[in-house]
Amino acid sequence: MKLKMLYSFLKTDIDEIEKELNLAIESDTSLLKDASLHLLQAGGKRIRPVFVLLAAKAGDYDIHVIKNVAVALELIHMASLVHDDVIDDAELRRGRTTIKAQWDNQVAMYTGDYMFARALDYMTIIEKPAAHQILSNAIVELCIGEIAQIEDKYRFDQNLRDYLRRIKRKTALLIAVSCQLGAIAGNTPEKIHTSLYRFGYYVGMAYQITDDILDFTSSEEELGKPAGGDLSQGNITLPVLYALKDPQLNKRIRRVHGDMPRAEMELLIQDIIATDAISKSYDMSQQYLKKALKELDALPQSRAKKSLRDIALFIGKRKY
Amino acid sequence: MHRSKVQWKWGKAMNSIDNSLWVDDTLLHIEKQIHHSYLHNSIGAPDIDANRLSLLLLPFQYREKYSELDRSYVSTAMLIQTALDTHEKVSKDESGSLRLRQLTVLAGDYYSGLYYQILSQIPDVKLIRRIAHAIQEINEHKINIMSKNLSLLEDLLSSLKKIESAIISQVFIHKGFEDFVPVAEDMLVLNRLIQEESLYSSGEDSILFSYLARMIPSKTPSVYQEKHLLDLYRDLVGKRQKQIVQKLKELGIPFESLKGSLFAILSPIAVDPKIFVEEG
Repeated sequence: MKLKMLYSFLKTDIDEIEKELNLAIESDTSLLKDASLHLLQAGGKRIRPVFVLLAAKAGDYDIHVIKNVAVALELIHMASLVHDDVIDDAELRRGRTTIKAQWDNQVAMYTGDYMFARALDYMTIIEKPAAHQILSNAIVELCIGEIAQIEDKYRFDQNLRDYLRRIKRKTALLIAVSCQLGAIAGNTPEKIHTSLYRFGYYVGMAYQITDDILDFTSSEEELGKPAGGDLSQGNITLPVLYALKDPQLNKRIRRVHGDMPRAEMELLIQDIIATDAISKSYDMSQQYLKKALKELDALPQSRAKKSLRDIALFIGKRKY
Repeated sequence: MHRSKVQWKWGKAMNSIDNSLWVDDTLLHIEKQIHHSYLHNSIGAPDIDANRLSLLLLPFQYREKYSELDRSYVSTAMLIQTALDTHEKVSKDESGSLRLRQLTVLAGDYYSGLYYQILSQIPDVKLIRRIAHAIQEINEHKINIMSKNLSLLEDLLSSLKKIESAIISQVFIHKGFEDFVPVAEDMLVLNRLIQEESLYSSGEDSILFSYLARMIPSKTPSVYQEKHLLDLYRDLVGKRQKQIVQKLKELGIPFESLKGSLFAILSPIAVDPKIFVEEG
């Protein structure tokens, strides 16, 4: 089953958001518009807007209000992708050339800054100070998380806590606040929007752990890049942390560096997969998903609640 | 709607108010907000533009009042400017250290996030919106310049003015200091012209000098081209200086009262005292 089928009843509103995203990147400066459109047309799951809409269904759902939060969250995500491609020196994103590859780093920097500003512009239509405090804190934390990821590269003495804190900032927070801000824009009581925040947080953690597992277990074709790329780049993910507990693997993993021969790296990846590191990581992802589903108990029965549950389960089972 | 001009009066106590205290206090506040040990150990702490800060403080000096809230507004404007300036350092090509480039991108993103965080804590949603508009405008002009969409020098100067002053202008408008916007625009564009000249003299690319070079008649012997170019530059700077002096006069600000780094903006080349006599 495709992800989109899990929230098909929102199709009209998702289309409305897509239209609004196209309007949001309108600019008299043709290069800026072309660059933004280049990324927008590459598609994407639009998972953050979907979470915003589904969470808002727990309150007073008015698409004309809610769409501003959904568009803002997607634009923030897109802005971070444009800058991430400069950071990672990436040539491809969603099967298309990146903005930095199609034009250059400078165009990518300006486009990312422009998109971020457009996001805040949309967000200010929501005048609730709490919404801005939540979002701005998440953005700052997201940046701190990305900086920490660079700081922690090839640092093999890090622990589980370091990893969890990093993926919280890197991935889970923006999903958590997508849920919470949708609920706040829908005027839900605090109990509901904090439950939805926690739901998004747990789903985001499970999502990132799954991503980190798939980096080992998927084929190069599925990933669009060589498997085990995270480890070769020095990113210590959960499967690696578990594998480090094996004394033999520990020694070999600690020798990983940026220029390690591909054959040696592939052998190491196979040996990590052969341990229980993947299944233990999978268990942790499942624990987060269980917690996420429990948070939904606070919500009344509805189609939106069912969709949130189905999306969480989908994330737990996804193969790529 | 026509808005009557406010005549700004130089406060009685102004000469005794030491602006450098406010500058130092605000700088310290910004440094505290912006501090990130790993980031700054790796790429260095960002340069906070003291000229810009002095300029931001100018209307507050006039009002002789600078509250903690005002300091937050000023810090916010400086933070977002620092964010955009940091992103300017991201190299166009792939040369240089990857790690340096990665952290420079993230530092700029981090400072942008801080601007939003500070204003949301105040909370001032209206200023968040105003500054967001300024950032959009700035990036549109930056892209226009880099894609060489501008054919005339005047268009370039107008874009540079927006790039340099859009944020300060929004803070001034927000605080009811609209009368200071024209002088701030001219001072900041003058500051930029000076920076362009120093790029040119050190052999680096200068967008301004590439436009000026187009204005030199092709028949000009090469030995005179350099002189011609610098004459055009000095003419441009001189005109701006005169405009600034005139605008300061309209605001009722005695030129002699502008001390320190703010004055330095006005004296990139020896300022002819006659200019002030003529205008004053």
